[in-house]
Amino acid sequence: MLEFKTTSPEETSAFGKCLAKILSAGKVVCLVGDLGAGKTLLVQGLAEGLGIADSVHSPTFTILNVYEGRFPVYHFDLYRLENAGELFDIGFYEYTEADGLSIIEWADKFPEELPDEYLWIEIRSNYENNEGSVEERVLQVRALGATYEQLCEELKQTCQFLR
Amino acid sequence: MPILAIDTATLVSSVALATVDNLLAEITLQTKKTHSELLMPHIAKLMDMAQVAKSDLKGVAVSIGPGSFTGLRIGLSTAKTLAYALQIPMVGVPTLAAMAYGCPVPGVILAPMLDAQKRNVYQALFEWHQGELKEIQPAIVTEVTAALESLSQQERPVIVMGESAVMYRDKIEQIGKNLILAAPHVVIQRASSVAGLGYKLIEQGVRHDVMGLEPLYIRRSEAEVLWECRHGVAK
Repeated sequence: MLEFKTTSPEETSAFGKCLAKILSAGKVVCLVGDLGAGKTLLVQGLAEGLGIADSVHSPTFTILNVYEGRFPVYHFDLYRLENAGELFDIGFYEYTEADGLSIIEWADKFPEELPDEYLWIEIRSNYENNEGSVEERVLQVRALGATYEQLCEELKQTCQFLR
Repeated sequence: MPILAIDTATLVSSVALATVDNLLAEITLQTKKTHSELLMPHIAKLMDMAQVAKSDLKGVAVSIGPGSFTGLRIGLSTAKTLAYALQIPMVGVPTLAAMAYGCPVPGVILAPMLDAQKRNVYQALFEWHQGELKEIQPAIVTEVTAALESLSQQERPVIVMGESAVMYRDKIEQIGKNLILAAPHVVIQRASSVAGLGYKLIEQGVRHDVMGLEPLYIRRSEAEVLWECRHGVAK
């Protein structure tokens, strides 16, 4: 596991850009963290790093946003889904096995439905402990599968926010 | 007077114009472009090249699955829109049956298989008997290796078709025995086959309601069961 630290919204977004450098079509990123932890900010930075011009926001109500860049990016937010059957209804398995990059917010809701291999990113803020005055974020990155372990290694070498 | 047939159940995009005993035109593409970008332009081109006017169309036949979730929705909504706007009948054609319909070989088992993700396939089994297509096993979701092993136990030759046959080509060749990978022009879905089986269904009096016809999602029942477990069945 790798641990990164950012101290401002700008840095969290910049961490997303670090991810853009190591990710490619066909990869899956699971994104976990409470409301307001900075998941969307991270995805916005990631999308910017991939050269995506579309406006990026959390698909809380649409469940899935598709952005067109060098390759398609499938941005899921599973927050409002209530059961695994609904994943089938939205074509989830097709997208996560397709030729795009899948980003899955609230992936921890359906751990058994995830692909076999992925990058798992957990964001924690110190928001509550510091009465909202501190912008610090801790980002834990885990890899499942050899491909993603390799990506972690690249991230370790290239991202300046390593703790 | 021809019908228009559409198959977008997988990455293959196929549209055809056919009368009951004649294929007028067919456009089949296997590219990575999405159906949402290709389908309507293809239909327009096809009709233009075959010199068929909208008012000449007598019906629409559409491949209803199982298959790719997004592909099926695009195909169905396009077919429904056309049938509704042109006020012509529509018929939904099961995708796997249409594939078998395009390969009228007696004495063999036809096994179309389409990707159901996570190493699963949608599979049904068919045979031709005295000039008629018979379903031996209705469409199921099954693990691909187990499905192929089971087919290799059959006494007859089995022609394996569909995107999963291509995807698991190595596995089919490794098992060998009675398994035969269909040739490239037969292995994919063809709208001409959808038209053929579509006519068959129309002859039998089958018509589907534009508002009511849904894609054939095999796992749908499972989703509904889960939903009911969680929310309780409404009484």
